[in-house]
Amino acid sequence: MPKTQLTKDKLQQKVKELLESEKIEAFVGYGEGDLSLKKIPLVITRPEDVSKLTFDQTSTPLLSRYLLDGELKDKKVGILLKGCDKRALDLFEKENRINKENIYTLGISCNGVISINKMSEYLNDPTEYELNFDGEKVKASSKTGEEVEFDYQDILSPHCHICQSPTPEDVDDLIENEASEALVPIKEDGIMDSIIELEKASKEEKYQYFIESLNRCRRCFACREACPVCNCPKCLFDIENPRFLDKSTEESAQHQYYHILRAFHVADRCVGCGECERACPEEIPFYLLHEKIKKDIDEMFGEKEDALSYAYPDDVEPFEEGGEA
Amino acid sequence: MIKIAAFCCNWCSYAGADLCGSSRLKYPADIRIIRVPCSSRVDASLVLRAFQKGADGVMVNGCHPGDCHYVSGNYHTRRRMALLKNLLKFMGLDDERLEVNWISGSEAGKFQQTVLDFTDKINKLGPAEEMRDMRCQKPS
Ligand code: SF4
Ligand code: SF4
Ligand code: SF4
Repeated sequence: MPKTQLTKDKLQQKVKELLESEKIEAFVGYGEGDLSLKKIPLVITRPEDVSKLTFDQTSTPLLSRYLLDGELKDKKVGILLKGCDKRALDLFEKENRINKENIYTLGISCNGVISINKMSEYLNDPTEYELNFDGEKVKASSKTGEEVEFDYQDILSPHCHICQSPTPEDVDDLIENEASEALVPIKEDGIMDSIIELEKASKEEKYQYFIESLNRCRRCFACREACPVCNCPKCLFDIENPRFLDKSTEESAQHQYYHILRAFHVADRCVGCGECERACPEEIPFYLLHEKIKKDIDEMFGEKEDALSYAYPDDVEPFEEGGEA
Repeated sequence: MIKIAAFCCNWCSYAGADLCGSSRLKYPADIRIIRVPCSSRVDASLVLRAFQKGADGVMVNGCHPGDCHYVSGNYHTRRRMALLKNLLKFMGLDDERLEVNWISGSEAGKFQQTVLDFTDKINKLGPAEEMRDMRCQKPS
């Protein structure tokens, strides 16, 4: 039996028990969507529906944000959490946006998720393919019978390579992912390497790199919508008076504005899930911007969380007399 | 002619600029002073907006660390602007065009000198086209 099936069985069994014992009223997990490469968020309330639940390396959208408002708020709910999802949930708790008492956290040890953007380096239209996970290999087969085999590491989301805790900590119960042993996500620090490489590049090279990539942006806001921590009730970019960002996608200044501000707004709350990277239809490496701020925060202030909400007298002083950094 | 947007906090650097004027110390007319309640009111958004709409240099001026009228406002300015400058540099943009200065209400001389130095620097660098929204450019 494939290992993903074993994990799925354990998951369904566990959720069934929870719903039957009325410990929870609803459970938030993943279900099959229309695309083979993407799972969709799924809420179930009846024990007989547990067979719809599933989990594998295509279970991407983070679920904890669905507890913030809407029908699930203040209900007794169970939720399936990967490492990054748990980090997001912890953040919401710290910000007093959820009531932890009502939430049953079911963790699952994660072995990373795939990035369709990465797959498109090898395939023309990845969405045409079905995926089969088998240890360190992934087999993609199309409807026309074509088969391609990948190393799982090559199509893994860049953020998963540097995930701090793929196995969520402090959860009510943990499901051991049977597939996880074969697949150790941490291979290399690709994101940090790119940042360091760019830092060393000349000014012109840096400028060209970002102008070329950011100018591809269609301003679809998918990167904003996908981010679990990017959820202000009124977004800066939607304010109409004054309008900070207009509809032009021709002006590089507008792209710079969007991406720099987006990076600042998520940098100190980012949970490193990589949703933004996976959402981008243009495969733009804009996430390097918030990762760069995260790196600087770490180096300059030695803390990551909430670094932009606090500031102290003994912080480094980069502007002493004369204003030069 | 170059343009410089200078955000000055109400309590220190704006008072410094005021004193500079009333003491008849001369400084270049390239600068446009924008009074803000506290230097921490200035975030990345305002700085970028200034560059987009025609500024060639942006100054953020606040009270000396420790002297903030609101106790800790300028510590936030310091963190934020340090990160912003780093990020601009990372993107290959001219981070020298953004300067942060601590100027108190009695430092008229320092205000004058800072503006002189900064205008000098920006004059040498020339117009900041890399961050400009080109639609704001007058047809020449
Ligand atoms: S960042 Fe990637 S590896 Fe880490 S928990 Fe999330 S999906 Fe799993
Ligand atoms: S900025 Fe990207 S990596 Fe960070 S929390 Fe948001 S979606 Fe996840
Ligand atoms: S998802 Fe990509 S194309 Fe869309 S707004 Fe974000 S960076 Fe631009």
